[in-house]
Amino acid sequence: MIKATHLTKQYGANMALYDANFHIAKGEVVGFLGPNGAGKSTTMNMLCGYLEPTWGSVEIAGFDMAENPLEAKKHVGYLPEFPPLYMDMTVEEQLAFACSLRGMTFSKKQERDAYIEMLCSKTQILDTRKRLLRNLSKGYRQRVAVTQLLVGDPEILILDEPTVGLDPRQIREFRELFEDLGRDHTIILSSHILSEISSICKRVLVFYEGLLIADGEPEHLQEMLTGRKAIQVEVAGDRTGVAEVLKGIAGVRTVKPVTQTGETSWEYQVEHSTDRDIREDVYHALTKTAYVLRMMKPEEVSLESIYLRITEEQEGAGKKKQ
Amino acid sequence: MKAIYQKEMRQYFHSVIGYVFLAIFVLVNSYYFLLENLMKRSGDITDYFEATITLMMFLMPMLTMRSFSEEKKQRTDILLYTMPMKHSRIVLGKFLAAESVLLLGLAVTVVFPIILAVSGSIQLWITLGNYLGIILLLSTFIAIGIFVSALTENQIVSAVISYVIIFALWFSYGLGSTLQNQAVLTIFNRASMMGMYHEMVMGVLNPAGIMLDLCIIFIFLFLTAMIVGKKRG
Repeated sequence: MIKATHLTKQYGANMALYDANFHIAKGEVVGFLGPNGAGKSTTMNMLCGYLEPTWGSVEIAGFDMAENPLEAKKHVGYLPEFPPLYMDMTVEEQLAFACSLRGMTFSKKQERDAYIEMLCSKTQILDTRKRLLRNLSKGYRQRVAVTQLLVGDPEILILDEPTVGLDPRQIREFRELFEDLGRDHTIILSSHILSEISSICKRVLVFYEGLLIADGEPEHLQEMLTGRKAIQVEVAGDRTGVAEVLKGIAGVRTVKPVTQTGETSWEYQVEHSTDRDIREDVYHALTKTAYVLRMMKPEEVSLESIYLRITEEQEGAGKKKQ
Repeated sequence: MKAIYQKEMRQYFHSVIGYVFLAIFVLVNSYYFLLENLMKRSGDITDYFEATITLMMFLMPMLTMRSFSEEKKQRTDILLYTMPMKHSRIVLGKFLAAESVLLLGLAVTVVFPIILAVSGSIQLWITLGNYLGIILLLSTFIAIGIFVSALTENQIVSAVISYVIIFALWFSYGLGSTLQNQAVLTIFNRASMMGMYHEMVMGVLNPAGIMLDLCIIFIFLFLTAMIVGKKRG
């Protein structure tokens, strides 16, 4: 459905994106993850035809964006970070304009109105149809922008940080909406918050300083990026003894007490080899002793910590070379 | 193209721009008609057109300065450029909308030759030549204004650059004479909007002049389409 080949964007001396290659199949829900300035928006702008790549190509539904932009654009709906809405229009006028831009024709005005009504009911903005966009809250404007995205029912929806600036309730509603849309659309969603992406997307592409550094399932992200896997366990009992038991489990590399959670209980970070799941072994090893297992879960991936680790590794490699 | 045209027209008349433009347009034209024809008891419509044209030059960038610059500033341009629509159609839609507002203003001025015809007599061909001349000339200014607005997101900068280009093209007439070179003088006079306009107001419909005017309009619209298509690349 979407194929990016050697996608590169250079602004003067600044390389915004370098040699990104990926393929997104029909029906996939993919997250673009990375800090600000990582290259997410640049990539999205090139995928939707707003920016021309310096090198490389974008193929949408079999159409090359450079050679056949009109056909390619028919399949894409794009919601940039700042919703492209005309503040002097009503919601209905804005959506009617989007219909015209998409080349949609209706034999009667009533037919067009019914279509707009159907779209508005999907995103729950029916009651705002007659209101001026400038009088709507940010959350409602964002909803209108998403509704505009659905005009003409493009198969691919690209959304650049769609939940930025929304309150928690609105964020939850948007997540539900994207999950719903994900059933019959190919979706690309960008964010710099991992939890937001991992709850909706089955696949994540991680960008860092203009490079596509990882591509895979969110739960394997840490493993992909750092080559390590870890679990968190909370155990009541002598700290040294618990650490000894955990270290004795096959595949365990390091055991590190992280936080004291009670008088005798600690939370440990247990790093282990990537080729096995040690959770059952941990359970069996601890039940054989007097130590009490209170909690066990895969280590929460902190994007910031991954970036720090990657940059530290890169800096380390640079020093070694010197 | 129709979508862009309708959107532009709606924006002209949902904001004050369209009304302010038309109000000034009609006021300025009425003032000069009153001054040049009614007060002087002259039946020559050319006097009115010659007097009014310089002020029209100041007025046109008002109409076009926000054309693309406002889209860029409000970041709505991304909507236009990511939809399956040719850039040339976007430019043409905006041009035709500005053209329509201009024609609306000119339509009001038709009453002036009618007044002259009722109270005396008018020379039909000279009147038509004047209208054709002013339409072509002001259309050129619109094309220039739209082109400049595609270069910047600042409306004021857009208007100022438009004035510079328009005045350069208008006053290039006779400029070549300072170099005392006949060939240079001919080139400057040919390129000058003033030269072309003066031919038409005298009732001389020179096909070469009309073609040149149309070519200038086409070139600026073509360049605008190129800019909106390639500038981000």
